[in-house]
Amino acid sequence: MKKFFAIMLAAIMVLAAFAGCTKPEPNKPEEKPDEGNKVAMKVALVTDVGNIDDKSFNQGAWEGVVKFCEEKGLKQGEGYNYYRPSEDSTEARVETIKNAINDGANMVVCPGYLFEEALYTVQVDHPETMFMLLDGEPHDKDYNYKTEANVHNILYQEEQAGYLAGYAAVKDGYKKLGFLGGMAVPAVIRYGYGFVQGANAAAEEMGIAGEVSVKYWYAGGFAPTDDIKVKMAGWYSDGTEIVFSCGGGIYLSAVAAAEAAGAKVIGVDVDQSAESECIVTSAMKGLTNSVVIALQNAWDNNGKWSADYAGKTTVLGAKDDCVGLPTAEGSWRLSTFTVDQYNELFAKVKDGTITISNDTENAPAVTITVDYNA
Amino acid sequence: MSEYVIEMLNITKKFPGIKANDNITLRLRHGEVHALLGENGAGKSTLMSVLFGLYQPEEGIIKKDGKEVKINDPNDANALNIGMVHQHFKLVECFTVLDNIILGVEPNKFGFINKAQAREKVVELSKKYGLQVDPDAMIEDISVGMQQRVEILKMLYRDNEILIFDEPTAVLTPQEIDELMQIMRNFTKEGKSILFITHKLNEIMAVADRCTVLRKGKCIGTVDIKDTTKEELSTMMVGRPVQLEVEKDEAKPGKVVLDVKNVTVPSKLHSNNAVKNVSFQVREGEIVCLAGIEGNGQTQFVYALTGLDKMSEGSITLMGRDITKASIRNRAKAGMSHIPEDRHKHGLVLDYTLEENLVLQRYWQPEFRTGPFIRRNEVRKYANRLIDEFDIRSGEGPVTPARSMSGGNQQKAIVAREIDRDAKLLVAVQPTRGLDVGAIENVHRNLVACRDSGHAVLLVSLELEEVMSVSDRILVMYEGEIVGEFDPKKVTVQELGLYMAGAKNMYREVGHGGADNGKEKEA
Amino acid sequence: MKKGLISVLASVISILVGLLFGLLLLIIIKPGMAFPKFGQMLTAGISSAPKLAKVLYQAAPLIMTGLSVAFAFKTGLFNIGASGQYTVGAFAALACAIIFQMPWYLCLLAALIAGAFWGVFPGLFKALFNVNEVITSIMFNWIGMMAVNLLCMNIKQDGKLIMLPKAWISGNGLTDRTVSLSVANPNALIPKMGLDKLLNSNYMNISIFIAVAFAILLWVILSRTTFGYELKACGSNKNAGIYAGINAKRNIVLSMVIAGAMAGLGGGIYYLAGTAEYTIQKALLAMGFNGISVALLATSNPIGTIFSALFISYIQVGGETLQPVYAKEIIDIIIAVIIYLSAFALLTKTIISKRIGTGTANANDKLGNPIPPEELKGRKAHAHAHGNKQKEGENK
Repeated sequence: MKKFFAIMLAAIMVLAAFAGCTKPEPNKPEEKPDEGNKVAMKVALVTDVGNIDDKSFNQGAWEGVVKFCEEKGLKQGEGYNYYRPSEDSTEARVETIKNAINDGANMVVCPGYLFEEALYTVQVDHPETMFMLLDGEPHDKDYNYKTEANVHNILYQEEQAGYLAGYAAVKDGYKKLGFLGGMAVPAVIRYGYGFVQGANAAAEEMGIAGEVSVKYWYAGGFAPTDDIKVKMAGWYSDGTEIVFSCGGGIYLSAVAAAEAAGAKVIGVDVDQSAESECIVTSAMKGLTNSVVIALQNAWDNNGKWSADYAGKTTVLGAKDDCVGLPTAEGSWRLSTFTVDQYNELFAKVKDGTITISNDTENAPAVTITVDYNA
Repeated sequence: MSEYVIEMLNITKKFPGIKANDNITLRLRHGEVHALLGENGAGKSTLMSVLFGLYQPEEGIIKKDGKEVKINDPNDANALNIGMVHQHFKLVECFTVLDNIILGVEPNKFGFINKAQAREKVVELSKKYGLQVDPDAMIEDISVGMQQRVEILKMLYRDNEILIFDEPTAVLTPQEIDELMQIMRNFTKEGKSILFITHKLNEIMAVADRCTVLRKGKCIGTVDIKDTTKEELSTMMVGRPVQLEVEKDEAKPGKVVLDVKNVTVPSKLHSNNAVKNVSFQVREGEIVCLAGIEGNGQTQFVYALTGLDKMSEGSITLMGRDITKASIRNRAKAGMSHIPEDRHKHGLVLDYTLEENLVLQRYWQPEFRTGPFIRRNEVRKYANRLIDEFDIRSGEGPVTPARSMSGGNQQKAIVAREIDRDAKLLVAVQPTRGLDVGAIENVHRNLVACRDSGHAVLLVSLELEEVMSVSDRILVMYEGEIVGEFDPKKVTVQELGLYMAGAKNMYREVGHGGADNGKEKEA
Repeated sequence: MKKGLISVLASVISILVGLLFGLLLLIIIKPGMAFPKFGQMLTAGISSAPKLAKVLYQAAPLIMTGLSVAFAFKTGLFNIGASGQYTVGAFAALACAIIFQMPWYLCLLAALIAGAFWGVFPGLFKALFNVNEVITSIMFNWIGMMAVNLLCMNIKQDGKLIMLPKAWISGNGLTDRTVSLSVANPNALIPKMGLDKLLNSNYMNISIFIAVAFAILLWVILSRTTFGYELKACGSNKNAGIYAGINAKRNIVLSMVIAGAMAGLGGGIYYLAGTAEYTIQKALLAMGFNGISVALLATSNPIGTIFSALFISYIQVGGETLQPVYAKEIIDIIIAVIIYLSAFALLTKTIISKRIGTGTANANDKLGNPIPPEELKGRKAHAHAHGNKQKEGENK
């Protein structure tokens, strides 16, 4: 045993010495701090339950935090950090937010609706701390909504993203489409109905409304399962050419089925093109962008929300460049529908020429065939 | 050159609560058979483990040819030409004889095994020493005696000069024992030296030149065999004069206790029955012995009798009660106690303490429980009584883990437990297996006392000596059948041997070759 | 030296080496902060009342699942199905609370019974058909989880999905988790008896006392009753148990039932605390598998389970404080190393025994055959067992 400890100790010392050597180079000359900010801003992102590499909300928001803070010369560990709660409960999220505040954070980014209840209490306990809530609004257990002045909520026009994806798919020549939703929550429904409206618009333009059909299904969860994969495989073998997979990790099931069938998938929330060759495009929410926009607001305002942000909810969409399809080379895998055509379409959505219904109660009236019992 | 090939000087090896070897000196001459005699737990195995590099002694040194050596592991021992035949063979069952012999020292050319060369050497060795084996037979297909030869050949193949035999005769038939003795003599002629661990006095007298006796970890002395007697050796070993013959009066059989009728037990290994149509009776006040060579259905019969296994036909009546289909617990309640053949498999829960094991068959009796709770004080009291009465020795008394006790004392614990149950029928399966003279005497006395107090005893034994001296009636079993019934006073060992080997049958004609088929592969 | 003490020492050494390894990791990742953060990690659990509360809150269900695994293990069974039993127990508790509006103690009882029920199947399959309990209990983990998910999303009362928030509140409730008990049935929350005020934490309730009570109960059963005697006898040597007339089959089933009951109660305790809701659709709940770690570290001793669960919980709470300098997942690595080492407990014990010159048991084990000849069959088994070791044994 003694020998063992001796070896361990020696190993520690050697490694410590190494670690000392490989310490990162002294930081590159720092960018000149933005003069607009008088108060040192310290940003903390608390993940909802997963990690910052979840290819979804946490990651998108975190990338926004990193982008903004690096631009302003803030460093990770000093100017910005992330925290992960110990379990999937409101109590744990509250605890973690408080830990961040104890560590000196004065701007807490909360990605996702799971923070709604947590922020309801924390916003009162910490009036000096600014909070940003993505995709939700604070409420208590009985769904009494209240947003204090130190909180800014951000919602998205998912129907626009869905519309763009549906339109692009049909324009690109796909006629048999599918929509795979995680669960019938409002955000997912808006994606889905938007997708149907976009496909319909393109089909009517092209005069092929009779030929285009959409299979529409909610999986009942956000986790990839074999059931979903089997269902998707069934769709693909029935002739479905492309499926808009909408929610959490279920794209994994859809991708697996698509790869096996040689068919296509449309991603969601963030640019998922790196996940698989079969993801031809993604209906993105500009999480990163929206976080940057909101942080800039506080930055310009001595670290506090401006009057039009404080206690308010903004709904971000095409007009703010916070929804869209990825147009970068490598992400754009549509063939007949070009980036230029897309930009033209996007501009119309942005300036309001095209309006898209965000009604989640009633299915949109369309001329293409939509099978809601697929 | 030194007079001694190996000298172990002042070896001391301690284990918790016990000095397994206390200042022991053993000198092995060139070309001698040196016996190491001692009771179980006397420290023989420990001493040999020290020599073989399995243990490091706290004190003392080992010399080879007069030079001090350090033996840290079996590889060192092997390098010093020390080889050992373990009590439990260490062979790969699904390998051939040849593969086993060369395992670990395979001759090779560019990484390919050169079996032809190995075979040549093995054949040569086996001829030279009269160790006939078939190099291509699978280990699992050959008899125990053969397997032992393979172990011996392994040592020879490695050119070992010092051969340690750890209780080599325990598993052999009388004929095989004779052969082994002859082989050992051949080795010494070649100048090899042999350390022979045993507690069988007859074998020592037959083959050894000198004998070192250990008792309770101490060296009692080394004697020349030609100057000593069995009685002297056993006195040295046990520390008091030992009754080598079992003293007992004429049996006075009374009422029938056990009535076995036409019992047939299917075999688990082949389509034949392991036990065929066995019938006999055991009366109160007599010891009936079921004799036979290992693997002739005795185990299966006992399993069926005690309820560990099912029989396909026949009936068993105990004290007039049909227990053919009774559970084990109900058989116990009906008056059957059982000293099992395999004390580790059935007899003991090794992870339990001695006292827990001593109540294994009666923890459920009102004496030892209050409601759901065990009365630990009663258990302790009871254990202490048995420990005293049956002289069960252990490091920590009743709380000693059974696993840490010597085999002999484990067996004593089982015997104590089963005899003390005071059941009408005692089924004792090889109750003295692995025990030393002193302990054997103790068990035999207990069996006879059990008989004399009006109990019926069914003894299953492989030791002919025991069969002849203890029993009042002998039943010989061969290939699952009873082939003869004898009065021990009116039959010779040689006669019994013929029945046991299948060469004779009281009830029908026997064909040729019976003796060779004696080793049925049935466990 | 006592066997128990050696076990404790072996676990402590595992812990120390694991922590040392963790420190090493911290040093490699970010040398400057390693020592202060490591110190913070080690003391976080007692640094403030709320942290202590969290340690106790997490430890309670861990003790239960640890007990589940430990109890089965003591009786020779490997209950890898604690996760499923935990989930089923959780559902029973929540269903009784939400649908039947029962008070907390009845909900816990339901959890206990449901967990026990889920333990019956692997036990029965093992006893009657000799199907390995590891395989069946793994399958029942999934069956349990899927069944619970299915039930949560489909049980309707008055046309509403009663288990989900939408049935209880107006507006858009989440659909991936059950309704909060403080909304649906505050009586089902495990009482806090002022402990939350005392320790200033919403996590705190009396569940830790319930868990400790069950640990003691199981210890009494195992070490003081004839039933425990039988279970352990069958567990460590089934053949000897049968020889002694013990009904081994019945004991296998009972053992799994009790193990399942413990895990089920653990599920009840966790979800009736009112902090977390049962979320639908995910991987098997980790709490059941953490029970394996707890049991291993406790060398399957029920009382040891209390301490090992407290330790794991303590170090998890400590791990939170590594944030944001280090990823808190480091703590999982440290725990994994500790468990890995404690899986080698036997080895560690042997080393300890050798160093301090004790350990009869191992001494004799090493000897190989301190025990005189067994009969042919035993020896053959022996030869099998040792066949592969031959090279190391003598021939190299």
